[in-house]
Amino acid sequence: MKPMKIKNLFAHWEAFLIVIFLAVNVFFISRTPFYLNYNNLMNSMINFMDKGLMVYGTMMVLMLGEIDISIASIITLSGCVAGWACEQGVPFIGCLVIALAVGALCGAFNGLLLVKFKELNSTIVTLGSQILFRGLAYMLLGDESLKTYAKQLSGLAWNKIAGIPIILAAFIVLTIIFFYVIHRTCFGRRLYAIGTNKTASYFSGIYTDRIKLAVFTINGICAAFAGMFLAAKLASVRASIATGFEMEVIAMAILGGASPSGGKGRVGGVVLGVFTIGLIRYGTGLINVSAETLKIIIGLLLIIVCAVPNLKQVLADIKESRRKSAGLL
Amino acid sequence: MKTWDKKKVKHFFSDHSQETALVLIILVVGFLVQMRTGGSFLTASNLNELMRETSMLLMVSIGMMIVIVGGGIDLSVGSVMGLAGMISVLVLRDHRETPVVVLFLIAAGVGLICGIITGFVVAKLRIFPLIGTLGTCDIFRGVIYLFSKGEWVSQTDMTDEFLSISTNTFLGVNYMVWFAIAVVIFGYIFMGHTRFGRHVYAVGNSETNARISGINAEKTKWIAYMISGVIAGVAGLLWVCKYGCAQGTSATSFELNVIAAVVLGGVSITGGFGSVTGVVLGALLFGMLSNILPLIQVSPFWQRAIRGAVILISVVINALVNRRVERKALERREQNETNEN
Repeated sequence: MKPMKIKNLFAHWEAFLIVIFLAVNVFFISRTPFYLNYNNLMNSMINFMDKGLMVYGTMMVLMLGEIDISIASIITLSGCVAGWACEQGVPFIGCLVIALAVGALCGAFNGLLLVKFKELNSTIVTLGSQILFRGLAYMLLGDESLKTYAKQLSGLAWNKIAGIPIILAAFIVLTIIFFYVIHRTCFGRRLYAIGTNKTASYFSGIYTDRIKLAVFTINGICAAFAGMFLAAKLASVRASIATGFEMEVIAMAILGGASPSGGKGRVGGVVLGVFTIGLIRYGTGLINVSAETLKIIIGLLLIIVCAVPNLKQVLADIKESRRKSAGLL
Repeated sequence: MKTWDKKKVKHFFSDHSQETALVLIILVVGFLVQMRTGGSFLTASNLNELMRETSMLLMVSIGMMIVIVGGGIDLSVGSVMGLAGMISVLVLRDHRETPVVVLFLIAAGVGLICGIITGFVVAKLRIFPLIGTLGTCDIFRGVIYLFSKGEWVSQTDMTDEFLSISTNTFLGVNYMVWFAIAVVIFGYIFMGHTRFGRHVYAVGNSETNARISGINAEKTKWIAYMISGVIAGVAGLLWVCKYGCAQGTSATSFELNVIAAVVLGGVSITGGFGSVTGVVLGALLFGMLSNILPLIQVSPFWQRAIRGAVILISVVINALVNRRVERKALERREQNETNEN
């Protein structure tokens, strides 16, 4: 057996994440006695898990080396369309199907644009569709808010199965499904291949277009699914819900080890990423840190997390430039 | 001789297809709206208002263009605008005798600091620009609240001298428009006629190639972000001046409008390509859009969707045009080769 070296351990992003995760927990436990309260913890899950439900879609998009910043708008549009359909007398199950279908359509729309126009960058396409989708929601609802649909969903938000909130159970189920898909199927291996080298994978016989389209569609469905829980929690749907969600979801995925340059990320790491950011949100709430300061913390965390894998390279650069200047002198 | 001239004109249009298309669209849209509204669009007061409305977008677009051409993107400009506006107006509130020039220096300074931080994150720490600036966007937005403690600074806290900037005119043109014109001229000279501007294009095109050719890519990117920051800072103060109010959410997601204007102007989002003329036209078209939609009585709830659709359609059309241009160029090359043989 290979001897374990601490240095090698830290080469794994997940190990580093565990340290961050533990540090966060130790910090909050020492600061407030209310942190380790089972009910509090479970209720905090309800607050941040709706973002956790979207994280796997985003992770798969990032694994391809793409990015999707329209997910928050997909939540809004799917929720608003379903809510509107509900007011028109569509049965409840039909509304749920409509919500998922709208999510899938939105995702597929992004995917199709990117597949048909390869020279387009996913940043700009999803930026445009982000504005478009939310705009469509505003066209549909104006500044109204609809309650019927959300009321029928309300069980999703606060009910518990065997002591754990439904949303956490949903997250666990999703985690198992995506763990299987990403780490145990051909499809998952192909995601890594495409993210690492798109051209090479194309020439090795991978249908890169089809996979890209599928991943964006799945991402849309994930967003719509999370949107149901969000609607249930807010008890209404409006065209202004979920603004800025994409930022936090991307932060969770990247903290979890996915990289926007593609080909990286493991489900285990992403789970830790979700819980780290979620628990920071919960803990800072307990020790009276304002939402604005929390923004700074999450922004800083995002930058630090992205910087750590690059640090080696940065240090090497500094060394080289020093050597160069020394050599010149 | 005559055929040569024809060819030259043709080449001019194919080289500047984006600009030509934008000018045509602006003219057609202007004409249609003029017809529809029975002449209330092309009046001096409305055009002045349109320019005043668009001036901030125009300024920040130039800064954003420099960053995007350099291969990056800056999602933090909206927050920088809010932060610079807030800090300088807080100074004004507490020291009412502060001259306006000092306020602008403070705003530019705040923008510069923000730009240095963003540049450090992207150029030195080598974080993917989209993610890095998403982070700084949130940080700066949070810092606004640290300074303002959640309060608003309203018109009553500002001096008349300061507020008059957004309403006074010089040579019949609003001061804010002069600011925009100055920034456009700066951008034109900077990107087209200085060594550094050409470096930005080189780095955006291929960072490795630029580095091998002896260009300091890190420094180039860093300075691009600093310029964008300074411009955003000044624009932030103008924003406060125009709306007569500074609050924590000022200019939230303004960056999306800016990026949309830049992309409309034909700047390649992957870097290395784009002209100041295109960006000016793109910003004008985008500004026109927000001006004419209320004029032709489009519901405000529709405007967002129309804006999003315009961005997507323009990006797709741009791609199609580029494909066509490339195919034509290839055909031309092949023809030349066969002629030579």
